[in-house]
Amino acid sequence: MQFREIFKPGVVWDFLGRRRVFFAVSATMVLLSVLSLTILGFNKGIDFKGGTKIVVGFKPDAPVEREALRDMLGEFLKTASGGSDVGQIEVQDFSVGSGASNDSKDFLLLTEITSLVTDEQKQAIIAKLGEAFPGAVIDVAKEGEDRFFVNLAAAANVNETYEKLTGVFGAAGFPKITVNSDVQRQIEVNNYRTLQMAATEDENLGDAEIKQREDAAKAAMAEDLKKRSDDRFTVTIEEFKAKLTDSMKQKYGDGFIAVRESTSVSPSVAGDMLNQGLVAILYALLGIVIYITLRFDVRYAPGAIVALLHDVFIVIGCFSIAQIKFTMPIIAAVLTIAGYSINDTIVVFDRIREVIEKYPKAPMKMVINNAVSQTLSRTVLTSVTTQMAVLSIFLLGGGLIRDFAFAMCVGLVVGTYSSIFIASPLFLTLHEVFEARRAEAAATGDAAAVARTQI
Amino acid sequence: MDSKRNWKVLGTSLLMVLAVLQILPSLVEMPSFYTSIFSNQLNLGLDLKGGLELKYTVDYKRAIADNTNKLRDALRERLVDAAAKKAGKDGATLTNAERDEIGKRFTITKTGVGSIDVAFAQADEVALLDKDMLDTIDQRFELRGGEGKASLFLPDKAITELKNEIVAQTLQVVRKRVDAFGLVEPDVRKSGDADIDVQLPGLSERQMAVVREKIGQAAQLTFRMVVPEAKVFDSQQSAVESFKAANAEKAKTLQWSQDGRGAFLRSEKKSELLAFIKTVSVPDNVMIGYELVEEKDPTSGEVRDTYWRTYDLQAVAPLTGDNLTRAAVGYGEKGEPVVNLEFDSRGARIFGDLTEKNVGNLMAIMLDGDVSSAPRINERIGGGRAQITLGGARSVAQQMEEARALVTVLNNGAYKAPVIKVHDVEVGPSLGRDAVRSGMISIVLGFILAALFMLWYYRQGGVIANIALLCNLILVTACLVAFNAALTLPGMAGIVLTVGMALDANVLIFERVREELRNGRSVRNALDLGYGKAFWTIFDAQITTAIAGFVLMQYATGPIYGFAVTMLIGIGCSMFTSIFVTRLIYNYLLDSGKIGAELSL
Repeated sequence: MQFREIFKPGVVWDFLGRRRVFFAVSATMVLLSVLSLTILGFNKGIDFKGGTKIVVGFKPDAPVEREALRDMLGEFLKTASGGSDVGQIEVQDFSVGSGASNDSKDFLLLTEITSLVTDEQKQAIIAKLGEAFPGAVIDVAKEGEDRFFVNLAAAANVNETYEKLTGVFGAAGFPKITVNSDVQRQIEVNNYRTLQMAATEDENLGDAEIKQREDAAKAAMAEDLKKRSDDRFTVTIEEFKAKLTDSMKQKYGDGFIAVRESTSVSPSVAGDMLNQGLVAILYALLGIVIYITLRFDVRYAPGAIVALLHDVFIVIGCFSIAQIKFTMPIIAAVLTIAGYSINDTIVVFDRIREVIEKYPKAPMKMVINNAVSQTLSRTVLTSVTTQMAVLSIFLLGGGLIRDFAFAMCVGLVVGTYSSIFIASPLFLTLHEVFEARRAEAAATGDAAAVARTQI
Repeated sequence: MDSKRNWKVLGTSLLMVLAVLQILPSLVEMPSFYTSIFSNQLNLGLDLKGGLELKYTVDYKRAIADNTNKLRDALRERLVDAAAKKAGKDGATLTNAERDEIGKRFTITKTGVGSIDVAFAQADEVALLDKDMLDTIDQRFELRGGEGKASLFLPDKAITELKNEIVAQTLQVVRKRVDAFGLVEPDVRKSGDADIDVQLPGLSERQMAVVREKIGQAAQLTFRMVVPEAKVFDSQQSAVESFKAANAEKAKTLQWSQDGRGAFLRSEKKSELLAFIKTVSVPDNVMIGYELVEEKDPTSGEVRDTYWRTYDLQAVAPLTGDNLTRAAVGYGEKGEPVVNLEFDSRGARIFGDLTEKNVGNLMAIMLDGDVSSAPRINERIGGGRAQITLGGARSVAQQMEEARALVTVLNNGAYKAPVIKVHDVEVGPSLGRDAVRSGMISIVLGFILAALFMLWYYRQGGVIANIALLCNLILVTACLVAFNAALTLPGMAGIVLTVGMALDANVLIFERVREELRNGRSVRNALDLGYGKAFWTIFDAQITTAIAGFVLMQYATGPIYGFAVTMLIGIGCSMFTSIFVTRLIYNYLLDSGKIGAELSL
């Protein structure tokens, strides 16, 4: 019978002869990855870092395309921020399907860039605010948002303060600002609550009526606000909004209505979520060690775990060194690699166990070389088939999915390498340690110790 | 042997047919009789299809004010203790009347969201209130003394910190609640100062309604006793009549009614009750609770009447959800779904005391503003357990869904501050059409390449492996549909990898079979041995991976949870198709004589 074969069956390669060299190579790679992770860190995407959320409205017949809008925003950010990397941009249609409104076509834009105001400009504004409002405590929001918190020494009329603040910021070169006060927010929140109560308690209320009530509430609020005073104000510089509005007007002319919203958003992956994930991974490793110890024996577990950690570290190291955007799908890729790595290692271990059962007296080096050689064609075959699929995704798929495929590509190569050159040799090393201990115990004639080291 | 094999073939075919039936509604429009059985459709995630965007604003001021209220209440107790100690007595041994007497010397008023004034009747007692005492209650407040009075206030910095803390906590609870609804890959972020944006992938209408409701729910569980002596409505009969006469539209079904415990109001709409009660003055220590009552026919069990009614309840809840350790779905006397509650030791003690003191009275179990049930207490209830029954004339399945959702919300805790929905709109996909298309093409091409390679390398074996692969794909998709998972582009790429694992299992088997053939065994023998030996290898490898998957599912949330579930589904399906299905095919080929002495592998 003829088979197609990659490796001639029956040939045994020596995988263990240079295990120290491979250990050294792997150790260097892992070390490099760790170094890069500590020094360079990740190039975090919006999922991990947060950014700015912008909603823009167009007339329904305006010739706006998502892709074109994305390109436009990219260009805008490049000029506005001074030509640096503009990073991730996401564009979503608002009001698709049943909820579509007939009056406007809205888009949601997510960008990484949160501020177009420099730190010096902010300092200058703080100084000016100090002059205009003696005794006030002024704070700037962290994380690059253009938001100022002005806490007055004593409560002042809301409308008058709004005007004064507009003056100060206008003089500093930022005429477009949004001012909010605690009292205004509370009125707004109360309005929402009343409207919501009305809608839930009276099912007969139509959309038109809700809208009408909403408008009435807004008007009443504006009237109410004129009389109120407050000591806590929040000022947001709408530099982003203002510049974007100009540039949109230029590009889309009359088709463009307005930039409806521009607010900073937090990361969707919270820090504690990552920590939770890490804890989960630790438990998963523990589970694997227990299973391997039960099904195989103790000597096998460390090899599998080290190979797994080795693969994961090198892949995320690659991401850090190449400064590729670290997004949510990449986490999925890293987890897949972990699964693949275990799978690969166990197949080789399974064969080692089988060869040991068949030739219990054979030297361990020979056993391992035989086992790895016998499974080599499977290891390479699987790796090649999967790699084919992944490479095609890498070459043809764009954007996010391409980064995902990149992680998988690296992971597959490293995973195959580690199950041959790291996991099995480590098993041998551990085996030798056990053997040495047993020999020592036998030499001293300690029967109990011999029994304890028996595997 | 043969009949057993026939059963296997029959079972497998049935399974595949079921899987195809399950997938069909996702691919083509099916008639309604069909979708009434196979109702689920494959959900596409936010990146592929978009979904709902909900925006909530956090009413943090309310929470800060609540915090100040707590300080006010605690402060009085501490001052009484301190005054008693100064007089040489132990505060713990005083009777309630004595404590009240001392308490009258301190007038504590809340002057703002984060400020309290304390006026002392005896000037020498001003010194009782020092920063040390304040720090033991709430360190964030600052103290400013004066002639016979003191004022406590939250400095601006503390207010900002408290606000950020409240918003962050609320965000976390929202995230937990959304995650707990299962396999969706939602997007939850804080936006602006105190707003929370939630994006949910397109679920079914009904699920969407449940999720929406549960995110908005404050989920503040409280237990309050009915106050029989309040008699808020006893003298209101004529007032109700005149209100009805004046507001014919707004109070159509409003009724004044009476039972053994006193007067109450009932109406078909809660809004009617609310409209009337605005005109009634309710004492400070009483609050009005509303329950949706279902009157069932005692013999047939059919619902005769549903209406909202009022209860006069304690304004201050002696027991709240803060003392809850666990909520779980259980079954009531008639096998209907209920929610069982378990309290911590403190909660159990309060519950025991409360029921002991109030035998014969009604206890209202309230969720947010509404009374979910008001059972009569027949005896002291120890052990710290209680039960919420779910009203509503709905099917058991709907009650079950409601019970599960309620358990989720209760176990993830109440919001520290109420959230108010600002908007609720649909959004389109986050990936462009081009990106989706190129992604799809690359994935399909990847499949074809891997399949072609198998075909070239293993010839007939490759054909069989590819049939198994196709079955695997169908099964995985059917499982995703059945579990209502949302499919995202990375998720699809992840499926490509489970496919890799499925092919790996076949590679392992085929390589084994080849080894046996090389050792000179017959085809049938080599297949038997090859499958037998490869099975445990595949088993160990897949189980180890599955362990990781299970652990991730238990501890992780969000996308990592979704990933783990997809991986587990993939492992289960690939074990079945690449071992069991291919074996069936080989058996058929052997028995029908289509494979002779030679094996094309």
